[in-house]
Amino acid sequence: MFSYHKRLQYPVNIKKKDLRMAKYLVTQYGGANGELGAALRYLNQRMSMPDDKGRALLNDIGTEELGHVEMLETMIHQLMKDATLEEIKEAGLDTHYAEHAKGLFPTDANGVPFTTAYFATTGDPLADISEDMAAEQKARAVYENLIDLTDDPDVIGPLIWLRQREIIHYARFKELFDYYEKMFKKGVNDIPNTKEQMYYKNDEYLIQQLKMNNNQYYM
Amino acid sequence: MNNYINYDWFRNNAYMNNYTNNPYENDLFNPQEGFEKGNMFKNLYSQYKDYSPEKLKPKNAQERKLYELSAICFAAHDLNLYLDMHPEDRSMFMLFMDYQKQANRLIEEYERNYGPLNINSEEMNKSFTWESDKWPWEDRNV
Repeated sequence: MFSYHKRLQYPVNIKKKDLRMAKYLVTQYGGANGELGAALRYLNQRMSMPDDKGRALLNDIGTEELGHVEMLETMIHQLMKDATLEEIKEAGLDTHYAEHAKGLFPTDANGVPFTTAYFATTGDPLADISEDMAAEQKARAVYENLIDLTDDPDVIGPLIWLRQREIIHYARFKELFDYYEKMFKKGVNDIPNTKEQMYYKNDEYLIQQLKMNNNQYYM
Repeated sequence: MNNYINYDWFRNNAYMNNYTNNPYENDLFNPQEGFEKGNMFKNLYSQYKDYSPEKLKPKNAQERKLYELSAICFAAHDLNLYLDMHPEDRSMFMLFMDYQKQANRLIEEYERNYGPLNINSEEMNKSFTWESDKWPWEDRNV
């Protein structure tokens, strides 16, 4: 289950309203490479990870991403809460206002609503983790675009920080990908003569994990 | 350097598991620096253009305490992700446990003075303040 911590993972204190920036930032909330998609994708994919490392990493990064969703929500809210109707029209947020007033709604920067298609889960660990690695890289690139679009240090601070988290997550997912690739290769190419050899020939920790989980890729 | 973490206190309390020094001094940032950078691992840190990380300057004692516990919680979390992939790394685990102890102590201390951060906090036995204390997306004039 999940429990709530009444604080942000990293502080957000935006003092100046900026509707254009709110309009761009929303893509990291509800866009294809956004935090909501990332959080739900990892928490969804963790079910079919073949070993403890994969389950733990997807679970823990997915949980952190929920905290990033909250940071993005806070940023968007603080950027638009004091806006007048005139300013909303001028920034092109009138169509948003028509349906949601000053409520938040997860879309990309062009208003395309969030969709579960962003999960892109195949159930194949290698395919899923390379999807996750790509997602982290794309999110990093989008954060860089967003940093280029503002000069408010209150906005840049959290964006730089969130960008850095994408780099860490990418590195961890890559470690997991390389580990699984090696593990599956051993299973397919290095076919031992007996079942016993199969168990004890290679990395003992790995084999133990596979044995315990009755792994379909190895057996 | 304008630190918001009291490092004398931290040094005296950290690494209680027979560690007099941080064995990862060359590999890891300290919790405050790591928190500000969003990354505890020196070899993984990568800066965008000439944007250096924001120096967090707490406005008052409450914010100082909040940043302090956030930094230690962050340090523990970033080590957590590493340990998911390297559970056999014993000394990183020890450091992780030290950060966790620090974090729990700082959270308790914060809750005692400023109200609950978690619904299961024991600092709420006098009255129910969970709904009335500020939410993190509100203006925090703390």
